[in-house]
Amino acid sequence: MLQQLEPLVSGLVNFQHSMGIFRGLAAPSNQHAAALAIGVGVALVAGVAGVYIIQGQTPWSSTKRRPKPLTAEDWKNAFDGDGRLLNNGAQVIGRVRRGGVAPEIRSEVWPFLLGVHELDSTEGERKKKEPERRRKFARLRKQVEALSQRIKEEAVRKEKEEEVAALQREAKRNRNQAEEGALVANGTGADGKEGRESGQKERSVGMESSFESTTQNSDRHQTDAQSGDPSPAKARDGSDSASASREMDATETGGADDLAKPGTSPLKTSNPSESSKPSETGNPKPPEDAQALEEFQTWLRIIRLDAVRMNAAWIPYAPAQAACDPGRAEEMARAVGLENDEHLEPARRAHAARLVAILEAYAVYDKETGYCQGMSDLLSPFVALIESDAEAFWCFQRLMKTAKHNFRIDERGIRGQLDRIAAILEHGDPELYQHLAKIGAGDCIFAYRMVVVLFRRELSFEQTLCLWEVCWADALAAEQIESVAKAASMVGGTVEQSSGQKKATKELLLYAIAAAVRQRRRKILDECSAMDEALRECNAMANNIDLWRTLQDARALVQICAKK
Amino acid sequence: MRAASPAANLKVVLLGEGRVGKTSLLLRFAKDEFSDTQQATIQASFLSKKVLVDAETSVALSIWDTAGQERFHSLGPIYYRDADAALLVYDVTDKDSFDRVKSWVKELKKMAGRNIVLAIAGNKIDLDRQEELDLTEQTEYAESIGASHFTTSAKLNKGIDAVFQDLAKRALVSKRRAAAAAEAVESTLVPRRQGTLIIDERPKAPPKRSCCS
Repeated sequence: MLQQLEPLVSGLVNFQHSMGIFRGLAAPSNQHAAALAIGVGVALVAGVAGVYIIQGQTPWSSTKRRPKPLTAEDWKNAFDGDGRLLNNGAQVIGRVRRGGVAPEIRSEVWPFLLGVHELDSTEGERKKKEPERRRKFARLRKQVEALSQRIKEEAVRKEKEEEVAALQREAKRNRNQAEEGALVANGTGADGKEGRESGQKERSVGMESSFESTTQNSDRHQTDAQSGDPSPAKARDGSDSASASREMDATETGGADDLAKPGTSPLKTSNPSESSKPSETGNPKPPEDAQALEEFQTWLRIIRLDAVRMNAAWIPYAPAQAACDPGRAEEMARAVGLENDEHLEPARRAHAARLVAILEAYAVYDKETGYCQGMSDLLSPFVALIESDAEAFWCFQRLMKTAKHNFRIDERGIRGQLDRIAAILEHGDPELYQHLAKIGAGDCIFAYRMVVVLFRRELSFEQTLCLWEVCWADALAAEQIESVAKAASMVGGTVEQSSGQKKATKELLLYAIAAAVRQRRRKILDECSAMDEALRECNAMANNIDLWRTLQDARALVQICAKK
Repeated sequence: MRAASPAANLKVVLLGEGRVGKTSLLLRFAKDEFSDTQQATIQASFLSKKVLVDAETSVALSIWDTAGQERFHSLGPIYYRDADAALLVYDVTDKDSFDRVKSWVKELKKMAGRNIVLAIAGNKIDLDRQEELDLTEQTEYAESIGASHFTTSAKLNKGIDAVFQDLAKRALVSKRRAAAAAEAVESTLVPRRQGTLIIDERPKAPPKRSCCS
């Protein structure tokens, strides 16, 4: 008997760790064992100090198992003969709100949840729209390529300019030295020195990563040009220098016009709301274009840097992509100009290449947002689940419709979201909120990362996917209720959500964040006396969150807030 | 060896352009870990470690590792405003990243406390392909602002302990000097009335928000 109990007891000791009492109790397969386990569990809980008792102070759930997700069979049965979702997808949405989506049908379900496919579309209608999406994505990629080409040309032009400047500097120095005469007297020494110096100069001009300051170069170059000394000596120095000098003058006086090549200004014409139109042509380049180009160049650079350091959490979810062969990975990496990626295994290299292709296209599509660190975190799951770059792009674009506000440079979006979390905590847990306010954390900055990358860094890959799909389904349900209510109010009626269903919200993620913070309330109240300690506590949440319990707690917060 | 309790708890903040290796430096220093594919830091993260500044004295460093991308910069002050020391990191193979160090120094001079101690680390020396790395400009700049300059490699674990040790040592001196100066000022003041100073520390009531709009 005791021997039989052994595993159960150790299981219950484990639950002390993870507060997993319900999981622990659900595991025994026969009822007898379960009953015994309850008895032992109570004794253990009473005997072992406080974890459960502390937990008992908050009226919140313990560990929660994942409710049954939307399965492949449910999904197959959710459509009518025309391939239209029955009942506008109400059942599907309800199921996803409760338990998420089964992994094997995610790539099919997500486009509906995100709005890439209309909920009331027929299969035929969806099929018709697909080529258009592909074309639009291809067009964005073309714009990226055109821009990259221009960046390359600019770099070559700048390099030439620098070479010219270096030559001119040298010419000037030669002249000065000649004039000084003293050096002439000591010819050998001066020549030797000169030779060394110019050798160094040339090397630094040719080396992109060299530390010879490019700004210094161009400063000096400007001084030369501004001194207004088109010294004949320069021209006399050699034909190379003279022609280079003409070239430089041309770029300085008529540079802007010179750069206005037809059909190469996609930055200026791309418009997020209208997707991508073909570039305007023939217009002279506006002065801000150079700045836009520089900005785009920065984005391209950091996109690559982030892509090659994306983690490999997605690999178990995309077996086909995980098995990418080295040759194909190499080809993909070269196609988008990845560098410093040779140390990656083929699957990660290929993944990085796809991230780059899609993020670049997005930067052109939504140039106001461009690229910001964190966006690669948001894209990686789409790339893993969806084989086609174009389809992954359009799903990502839908996600970014709301998420992009978090990346605004003026931070208005993120601050607004953090304010909402503060408001939720203030209503849902006044004691905790007062404490946070007292220690200078009332602005909820500690939740910044959770909001910006939608909990991706705190949750496992699978948990993240579940949370996202549940949040999308909730937002869809809230939208549907809103529109029904609107229609009803027009005829003087009101609509209430059926009592059996939890209230839907477009802000479930924020409630979930607030709930996760609340789960640490004891520690925060007892141990955090400054804002940075609250942030440290939140960072420590990573990989230590029970998603389904958090979602349950989040829904409880929704109810609490709705009543106030 | 006796485990002396730290002489001080010092707050250090790591600043610098994205992907210069701030997180890698810190992970190598605090945990002796290194990954070629360290993910981008979003917002900030925190690690602490005790450092011996001499045979007798140790200090506890609380180190904040911040996100590099400019778009997260408005968060900077949260981490550096009461920092005792800042480590500014650049990538020796990337000239622009050194320019960013300069702009961080400007901001720190303006915004951070007067007593903040600075060090500059040129990281990724393992990547440099030039035979001799000319960092004259960088070391001269560091000298001009009263910062120490180090070259490091998180990958090869080079120069990292030296950076943090130097920061800890100088920050401790600076903190002690500041404390002594404050004491001196206080002792010259007219003694305060005893027991009558009441400071109301209750926070202002935060504005009421509507929870569900």
